[in-house]
Amino acid sequence: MPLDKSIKKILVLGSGALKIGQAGEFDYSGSQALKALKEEGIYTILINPNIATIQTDPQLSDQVYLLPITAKYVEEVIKKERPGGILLSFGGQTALNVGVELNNNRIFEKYNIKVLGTPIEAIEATEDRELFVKAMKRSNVKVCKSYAVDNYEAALKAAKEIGFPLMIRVGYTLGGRGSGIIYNLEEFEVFAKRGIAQSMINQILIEESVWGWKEIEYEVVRDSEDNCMINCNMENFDPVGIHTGESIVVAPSQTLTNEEYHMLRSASIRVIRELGIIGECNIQYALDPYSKEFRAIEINARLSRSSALASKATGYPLAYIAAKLALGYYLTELKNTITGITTACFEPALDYIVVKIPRWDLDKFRRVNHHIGSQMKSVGEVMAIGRTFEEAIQKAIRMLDIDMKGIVGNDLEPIDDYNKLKYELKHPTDKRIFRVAEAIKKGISINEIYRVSRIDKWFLYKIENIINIEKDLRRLDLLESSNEEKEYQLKKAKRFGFSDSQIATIMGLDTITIRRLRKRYNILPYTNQIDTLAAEWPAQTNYLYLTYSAIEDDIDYEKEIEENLQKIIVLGSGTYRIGSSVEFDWGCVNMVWKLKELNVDQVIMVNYNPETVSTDYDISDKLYFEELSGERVVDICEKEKGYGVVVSVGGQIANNLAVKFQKYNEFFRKTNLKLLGTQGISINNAENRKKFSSLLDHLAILQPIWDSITEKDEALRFAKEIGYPVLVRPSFVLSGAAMRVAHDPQTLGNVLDLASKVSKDNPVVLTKFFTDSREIECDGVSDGENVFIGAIIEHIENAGIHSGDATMAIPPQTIPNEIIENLISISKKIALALKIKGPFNIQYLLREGKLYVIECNLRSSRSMPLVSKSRGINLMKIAAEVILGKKIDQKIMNIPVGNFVAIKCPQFSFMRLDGADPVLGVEMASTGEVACIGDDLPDALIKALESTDLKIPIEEGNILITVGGEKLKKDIIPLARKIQSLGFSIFATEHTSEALETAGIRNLKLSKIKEIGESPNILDYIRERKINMVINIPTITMEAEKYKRIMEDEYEIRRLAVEYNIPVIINLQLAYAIFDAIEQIRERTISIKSLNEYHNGEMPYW
Amino acid sequence: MHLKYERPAILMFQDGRYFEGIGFGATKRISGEIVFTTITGAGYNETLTDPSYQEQICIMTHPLVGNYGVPDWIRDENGLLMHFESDSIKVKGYVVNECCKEPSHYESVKSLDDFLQEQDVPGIEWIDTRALTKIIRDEGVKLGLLQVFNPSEKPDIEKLKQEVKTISDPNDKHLASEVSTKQLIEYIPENPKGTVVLIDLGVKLNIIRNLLMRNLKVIVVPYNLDYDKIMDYNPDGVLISNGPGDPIKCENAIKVVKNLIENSIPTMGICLGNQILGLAAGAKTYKLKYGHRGGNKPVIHVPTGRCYITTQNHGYSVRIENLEESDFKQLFDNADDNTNEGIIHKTKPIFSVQFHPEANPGPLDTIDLFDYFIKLMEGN
Repeated sequence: MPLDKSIKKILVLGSGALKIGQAGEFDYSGSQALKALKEEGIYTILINPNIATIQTDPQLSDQVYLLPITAKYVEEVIKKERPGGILLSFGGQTALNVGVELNNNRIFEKYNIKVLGTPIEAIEATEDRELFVKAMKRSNVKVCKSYAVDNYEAALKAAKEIGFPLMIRVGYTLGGRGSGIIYNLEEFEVFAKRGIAQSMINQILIEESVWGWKEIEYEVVRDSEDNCMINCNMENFDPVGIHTGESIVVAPSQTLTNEEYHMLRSASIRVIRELGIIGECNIQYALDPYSKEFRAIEINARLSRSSALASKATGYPLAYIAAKLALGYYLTELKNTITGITTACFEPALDYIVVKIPRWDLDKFRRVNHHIGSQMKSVGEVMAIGRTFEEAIQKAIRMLDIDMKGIVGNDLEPIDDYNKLKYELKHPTDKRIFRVAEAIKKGISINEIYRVSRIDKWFLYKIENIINIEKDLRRLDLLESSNEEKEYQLKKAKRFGFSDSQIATIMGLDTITIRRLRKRYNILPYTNQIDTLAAEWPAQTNYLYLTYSAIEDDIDYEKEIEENLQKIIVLGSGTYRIGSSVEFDWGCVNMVWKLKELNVDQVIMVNYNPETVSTDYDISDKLYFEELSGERVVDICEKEKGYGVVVSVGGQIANNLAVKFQKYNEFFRKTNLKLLGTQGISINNAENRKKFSSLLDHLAILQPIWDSITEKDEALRFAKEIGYPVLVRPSFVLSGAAMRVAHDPQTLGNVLDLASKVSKDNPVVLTKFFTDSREIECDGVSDGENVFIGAIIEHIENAGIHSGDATMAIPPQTIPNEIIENLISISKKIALALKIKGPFNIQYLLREGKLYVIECNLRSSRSMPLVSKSRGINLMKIAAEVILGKKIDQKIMNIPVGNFVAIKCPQFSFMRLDGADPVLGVEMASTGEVACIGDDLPDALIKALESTDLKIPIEEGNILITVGGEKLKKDIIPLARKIQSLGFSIFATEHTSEALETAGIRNLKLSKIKEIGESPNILDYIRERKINMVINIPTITMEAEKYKRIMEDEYEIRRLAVEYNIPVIINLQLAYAIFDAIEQIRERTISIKSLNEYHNGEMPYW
Repeated sequence: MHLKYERPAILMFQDGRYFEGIGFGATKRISGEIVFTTITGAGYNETLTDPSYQEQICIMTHPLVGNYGVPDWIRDENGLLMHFESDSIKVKGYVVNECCKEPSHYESVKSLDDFLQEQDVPGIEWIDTRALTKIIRDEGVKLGLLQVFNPSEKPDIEKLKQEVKTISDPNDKHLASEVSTKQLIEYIPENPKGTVVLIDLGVKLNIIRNLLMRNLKVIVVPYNLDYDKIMDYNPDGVLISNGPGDPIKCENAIKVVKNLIENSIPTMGICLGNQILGLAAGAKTYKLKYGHRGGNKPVIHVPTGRCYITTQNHGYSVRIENLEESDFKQLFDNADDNTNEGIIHKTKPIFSVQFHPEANPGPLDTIDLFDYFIKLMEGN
């Protein structure tokens, strides 16, 4: 059956904010789905509050609703838009869960909506463990012995049946939240009880443990005619027990025999047929390393993180194809988009190996547990392509951007104790791969490492090979060794993925020396195409990677150079991490699109993040799925030559490369490429604190008192002079890595120790830290003569919270007009003085009517998509024009600002991070963000908060207030009074309760968590979900002993609330804004309007 | 330069173009037809021992080969080797990006390198298999030689260039006769429900395993056994196996199949068997530019339009144009290039497929064709 033409209007659900377990991969899948629908002339409606995504760009769908993806809001949109069909498989678990809920509420029936693709029953069979077990039985596929229980007594009984160790899984959550391997009864009680409480359906699974088995995944595709194919299989380096999102993954599988591979493949096809999935699903297996026994662990009846990876690993556009299948197409009716002639119904053959490594950011969190296991904690991932495993994994490690050069050659504090090291192999942390290498170097046998870690020996031998090459390199002597030997060893090292800088470190030489040497020996990487068919058919697309296991380029560079093509290379943003995620990919993709619109012959993308849209090979003319390192980017530049490089849209990684090019100048010069837009020297002038500061002085612009310091004593003296609190920060940072506030000398001392570890070469900067100030930002583009300010953004919270974690409003809500005008004028002055040609972002403090500049970034910023979409003007379009030398069109200056308010809210993933304290500071902690537009502040704020999974009590509820210190107890009174006047019941801890009582505010005192047995206790109230919101303004972090207890009590309350998914508000200004909004929103209905409607259907400069 | 223990190796095309690498397996020189397969890294033991690779130098597009080592020569209860497709390596020379020296699998008893040494087959690694594949894709399969030298021996390229000119095309020979069984072999399961005579033109053991699994007695006969002798066994059906080389060389088998058709004997052909059925039906065969070799090949079942993923290993194909006048029609069609993937008699219980339903290596999606064969034998 070809296309089902009866459906003309389709609703697509997105996945909302990026969070742990559900990140940028759904921007990729949603964007591909929208593209697939649009091609068929279908009217598309998207609901997704994640404004920083590509999919919420107005040209991708007909209507974009920046609204929470909850049953309530989706129904409102359905009521208004009346779509004929809905796609649930492209927005992760969020969309799937909402789909199931809407189906249960009979909403689809009521509005006569067809669920396209995989039917709801199939989704339910993969989500509900009991249904799943039954379906697997019908498919003749074994699963682990498992009991679904909804109370602790039943759980205990199941545990006795199965015995320890066993596995606890929590039903209906993202990425296995709350799951874990349990070794004893004490652990069991904690996990089981918490799991039952956390599950949406109050259900947990007690299961047979297959710890240590191989974990294998299959991506399976099926159409409505029952044609099936496997897109890709993947093998986890880490065995069962480590969540696949936490595992290093290789594609295709490497240690499976033909029999094993096809045993699992056939099982996958039986399963997808039995379930009746139409589109794509992911199946995870545990395979016994000593027999043919296997178990199906999990099925995701939707596009997933793994399917995004498989899609990028094979070049097969899974999400696009899945959308077409949902519309009724057969696989055989679709073409392989890479060759353009062969069918889409085939299984990709790979002539390379792909390695994925998760990126953790655990150092960003206080008190977090660093062990990795069956819960997902990583915030991003990288994918590397090579022709040897060693090449791919060493590339991948560098791509993580954690200052590691590969498996070896790193500066990592060793674990000297033999037993400790072994313990860490068995109970891995985010450093696992390096610990394995360390163990091999220490002489622990491969067999022993395998025994404790269960990492297949094949992988261990490969790591050993890298260590052996390191030994050979160490023996190599620049002067003594023969040319032949040097050439051979260098060739070998490059083939196995050593970078120039890694070799240089090992040999005690300089990176450039190694580059010169290997170029003299003609040891060069070559460009290979990813063509889905291992070169059997020629590819029509330019999806590329570089390898040293090749003798020729797949691209005819000479011909291209002869044709004198105008080529522009856009550097991407790399792995998602806290502080740099989808918003930078948005900048990259839009830059590519706009450059293409401006008729650049070839726009070339370099990026390595499989969760992005920029790494879809059809976005740019050429895609290098490659490292964003000086070495690799210069390699690409040397091949491409061409016109220019754009460093200003990929965030800090790309931006830093501008400076790195200076180091590679002798090579970069010869490529005739120029840096487009803002020049490296300007970037340096803004990033270098001293230079930037003197520029501000010169322009007579205020800044907080600061000094650049290399010695601890000096720092303590300076802090005393300007007064605490002080902010400590290293140069060249994004998202506040190692930025800290010190309120006392003792903290300052500790912070300095940490900061110097992060950045040895750069001095730290000490600044006077203000908290009682407003924080304002502006985003704009300058062409060197004219400056366009996209928007002024006001933080709802007072200064002191990282801008990535702040709640933001456009336009400003409390700032007087003359201040805004002043701010615009200062911003223009700075932009012109720095000779900015491209996007920029400036952050300000407003204190006693005066503006202080705190930061200036000469690149696309996190808020660029927010500003562009709320303003209705695509700042990247202007940036693209400026980069090509055009002047900013004066007409856009007059485009009126819309009469509405946009609110950005951060999304936190504290619940995923065992132990992490949900407090905020100058270090960014949020994993994503949303933005909603409303008629006014309350309308937008409530929608935005609800978009971040917070259940805001509107009509009634119980509010727990707990604050420390005399000042806060005073400040909280007006808020408490307001809460009371709105009819909420107030609960409070001991001293807060007294303070409220004294002020005449009724409240019920609750005992602290540790006061077990004293009731009423906070613990019971939270566990029984009797509290709807916690307001805790944290006591400032001090080292002094007397604060320790208060801080501990507060931490316990916050953490408990987070685990029970109760909103924790830790900022006074935000709390005021929320209750103001609640008050107003009670009087009316929340507006349901699309982005397009807010702009009256017109976005002339998009 | 190579390390002291490393052996230089050269792969050379007949036109003199050559590629250097590191040798593994046997130290020797061989010549043959150079082909590539896109089978995944899972399946090299089955590939190496597949008799259809007789006289061929095989390039693996998958970069890492030998990862799970090589299992022992053990046999099942029917006396069939468990892990291989024949009793020796049939590939003449093996070309890989990387040969794994430290494999890992509980069933492995030796490395790929050891296996090739044991079987006296040379291999070459550290060679750009993608560049080679592209040449073959663009120019077609070619003749060439592969030589593995002793450590520190320096390859004499000029000498090799002379040698390579003298290579003759192995397809001029009757290759199937070289790999066919010399004597008749019977496999009898408990309580067989029928008898199949299998004309061995280089049969893969998994075809026999599949018949035995379905409770059929299998009589494996040599390529040159004539029709009457075959019928002496009173078979319920006859299976024409896969095998190497040009189908027109298999004159006896073609003659046998003509008789089978005439007498309406249930018949199934696989790969070379498909080409032989085609020739017997009056169609012509021709050599493909670079063949179909791999485990990811989509075929369309013509009557239903359904698509299946199959394993393929063939260099020749049936020209379907001539089929229209015959009593056969197309059963399967290649979804990528529309070459023939199987034919079926319009009225009689006779069919054949160009791909390998028995897989090994590769997907098992069309394994049910053996059940279909049984149904034909049962008269359904």
